[in-house]
Amino acid sequence: MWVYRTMIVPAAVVDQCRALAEAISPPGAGSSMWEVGLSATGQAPATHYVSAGLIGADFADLLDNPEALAEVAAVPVEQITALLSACDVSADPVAEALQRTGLRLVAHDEPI
Amino acid sequence: MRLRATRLAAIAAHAGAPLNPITIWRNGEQAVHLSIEFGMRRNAAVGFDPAQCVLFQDSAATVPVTGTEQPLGYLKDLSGRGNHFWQPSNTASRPIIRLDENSRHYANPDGVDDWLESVNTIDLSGTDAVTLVASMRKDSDAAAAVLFELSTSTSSNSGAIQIRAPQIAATPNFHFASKGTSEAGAAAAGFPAAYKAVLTGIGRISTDTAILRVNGVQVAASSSDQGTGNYGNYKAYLFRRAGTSLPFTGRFYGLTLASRQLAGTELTRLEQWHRNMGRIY
Repeated sequence: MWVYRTMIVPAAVVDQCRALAEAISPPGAGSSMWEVGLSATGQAPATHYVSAGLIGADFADLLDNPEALAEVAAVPVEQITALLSACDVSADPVAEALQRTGLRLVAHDEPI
Repeated sequence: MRLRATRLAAIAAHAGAPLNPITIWRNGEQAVHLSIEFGMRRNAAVGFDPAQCVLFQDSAATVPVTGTEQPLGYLKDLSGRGNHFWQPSNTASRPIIRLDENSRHYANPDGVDDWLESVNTIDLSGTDAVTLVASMRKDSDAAAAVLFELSTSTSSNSGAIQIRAPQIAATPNFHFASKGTSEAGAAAAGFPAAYKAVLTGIGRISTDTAILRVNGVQVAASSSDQGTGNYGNYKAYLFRRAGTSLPFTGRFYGLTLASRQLAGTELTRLEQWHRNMGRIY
């Protein structure tokens, strides 16, 4: 039922990804994704965003199948294929995925 | 006032049975003033009774947690005050329930995007004293991390408390802060990740008390001015500040928040229960 995925998306397409995830997810399951910023230096601005954790197996299947995702989302398959090819979706633990892609969490300098 | 400790016995594993917190503090007694109580320990005595299940995979609290490698979407409060927590946004931000080397269950926030928040605000406006006990293991000192915080930010809200693990980046410490209209913090170093501990924060605004205990031993205290007033009526957050920053990574075995200053036997019993829950010896 659940599978682990680390999903890294470029900042340029993050709004599209957020809208897509919300559209194909049950209520309360797909909103506010990709809000954690990444960059090569760990400093702002974020060049990528990450969501990592357990997602529904049906959601994961769609990420592996552009044609099915395009049909569910009612978006042209070419657009979905281009979107997915820009993203890094893997079963790697998030630390490994960040190391592999050379990205770091954008640091927050917050008061105590 | 006397606390009655009731220990639920018979902890065992049954395939398919829900994982539930158990408690030594039964909140029929209002004198206890517990505001939150959580635990990740399996309670076989409950059996498979959805009405008594308190850990759920989904944010609607309809699908019980029945094993490891499942998400924690909703965490019911056993204090009797209805201070439940949930992950309202997305499945990937739910901590994963896992089993440690001592067969203890824990929630495992990933230090990236996992967090929980109280479903409603937690009203501590009637008190200026709190005791917060958490059993946990921090797995990183790389960045500042919020384990628990009342309000979206202690620094910008009066009547707030927080525990950080660690307080600031690249520092092997724990930190407890209490704030009326001014903030006082107690921090202690010498606890490099991965560090498993029972953390206790004791705060009292009117007496300028901020005490941090680690594994039942006081390791830091501050008598800095905390200003005036009581604690607030805010949402509370686990594992990230306001659900947006300072992510905590590690193991979360349980947490108890009492709306008064515990001491003596009351405190040591509660800390011992948390030590047992995570086998933190």
